[in-house]
Amino acid sequence: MSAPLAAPAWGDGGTVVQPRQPAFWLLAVLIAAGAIRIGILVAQAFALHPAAAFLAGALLTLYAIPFLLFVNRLDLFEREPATMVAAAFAWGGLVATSAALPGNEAVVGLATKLVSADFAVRWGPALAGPTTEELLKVLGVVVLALVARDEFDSPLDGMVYGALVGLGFQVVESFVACINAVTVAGGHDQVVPVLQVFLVRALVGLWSHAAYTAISGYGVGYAVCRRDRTWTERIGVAALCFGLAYLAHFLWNAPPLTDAFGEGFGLVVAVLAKGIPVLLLLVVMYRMARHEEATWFRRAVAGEVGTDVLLADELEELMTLARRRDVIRMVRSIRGRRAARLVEELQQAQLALGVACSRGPAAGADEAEAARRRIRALRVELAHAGVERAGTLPHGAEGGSGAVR
Amino acid sequence: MNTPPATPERLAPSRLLGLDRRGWPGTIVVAIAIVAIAIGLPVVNALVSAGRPLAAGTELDAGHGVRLRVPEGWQLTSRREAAASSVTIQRGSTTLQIRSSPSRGGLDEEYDRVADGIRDGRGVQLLSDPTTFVTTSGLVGQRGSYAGPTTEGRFLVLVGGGTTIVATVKAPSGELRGGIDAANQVLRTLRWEPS
Repeated sequence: MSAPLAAPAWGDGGTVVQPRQPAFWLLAVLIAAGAIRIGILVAQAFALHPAAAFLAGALLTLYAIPFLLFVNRLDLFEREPATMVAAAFAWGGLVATSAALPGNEAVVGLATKLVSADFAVRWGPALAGPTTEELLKVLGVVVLALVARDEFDSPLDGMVYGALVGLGFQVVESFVACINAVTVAGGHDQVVPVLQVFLVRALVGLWSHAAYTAISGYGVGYAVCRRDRTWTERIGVAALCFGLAYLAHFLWNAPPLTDAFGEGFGLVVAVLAKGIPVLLLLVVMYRMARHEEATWFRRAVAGEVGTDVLLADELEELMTLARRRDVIRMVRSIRGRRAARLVEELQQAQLALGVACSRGPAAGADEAEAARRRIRALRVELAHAGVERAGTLPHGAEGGSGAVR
Repeated sequence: MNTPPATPERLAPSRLLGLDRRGWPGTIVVAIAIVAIAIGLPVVNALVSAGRPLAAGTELDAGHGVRLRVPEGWQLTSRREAAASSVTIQRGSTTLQIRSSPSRGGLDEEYDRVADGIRDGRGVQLLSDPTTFVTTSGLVGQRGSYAGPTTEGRFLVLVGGGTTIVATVKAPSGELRGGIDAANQVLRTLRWEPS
């Protein structure tokens, strides 16, 4: 088997619980401290404005779930471990938010004293937001890489964890903003201010904190995974990505760009003008990261291709979600649901084989062997179900090469 | 697949305080960065002098006979100027400005005028209907709130003795909540004294 692009096996892999890693204890302590701090804020919100807090909590939960599912599906080859996903979300929602509160206030206070109160009110968010929040969020990705470096196979992992950290931050920040709006409005009407804030934040959700930290997370992933590059290049890419995230956040908070578009529809134009470039940048970076991820996977399974566990055609079909779905759909239409489910399981087993191979010959040997056994067993079941070779099209069907009997 | 023997490093990584030695430098750097933001910045902010702190109980003149008393913790950012007839004080990220001018109408009319002016700001929306506010000296006013793209605030309009007093409390988005009580404490001391 050819040498995979394997990261050094620092931990046991598959979980954030790595008691031998110092960063794990830092993560645990900070999440606990953040939970207390944010827990007090949330408890106060429910005590002062119960209807508003409940409404904000419900709306933001409904908002976060599809985002969470979407972000967790960005990695084509390996679902991130649940504990890592939870830790990333918790870092954003509990650690970064609670540390940003005093940090932001201090930056605005310094701007007030060193420049003027008017300047601080106008430019404070543009200075404080990117400076403290972007740094705190990207540190979450760094901590996850320190805790479980095995889980970072390519820059795409950095993007996914970055997006999760940003999403956690976005949810808690939006909750606080909803409650603040109710307080500022006098606390009498608990619904309208929450809906107003929620709508504005939902509108900008696509290119807000999750997007910024996905960009900076790419840099962390690159620095961690691209061991074939020099340290200077890896740190340079990480710094560039952080700079882009910082700039996007700064421009978002800077008042002149908002003022330039005027009122009403102009505000919508301002939101789009500031947000769409960020979204486009994110899409480009995601495509680059996905390409690297595919390269990583191909190298990891290079020694298996052409054997009975992974045919060359099957490897190509694993490369995108669309191709995988096409194969499953085709088998379902010809051989039924059970056969389609077996093909899906086969694909998952082949993906698991690739991930196991990427861990290196020593660390991933047992997992790889288990995956091979599973694949062979599935092939027998598939043969019984009338599918000789999953992942190829039958003779005469959609130009395929003949596999479903 | 052949499985090479595990390396000695893999079996027994170097330890420091019982934890993997290789993880310490990065962990320490992250810890320092977080402490710098969450604790260091507030400490620096506290150490930087605002220049003109106001002693507790300081009485300020906002023009046209309007006076207010400031409790501890506020700083003067702009003294009253004869033409401007206003005074601005600040506490943390919360700014409180008091302006006075001859009245051009009743309380409702003056409130509407101020509300229209705020509503005309870029991206600003009023968040609530006016509510009544009464100062310790018995001045009755109307209070509203607003939010903009980067700021949020409350405003109070009082009319007494032919003078309109407009107080505006504002802070960057998300930071007004912590300053409202302190601002209300100041606003309750507003009074009008005929000259």
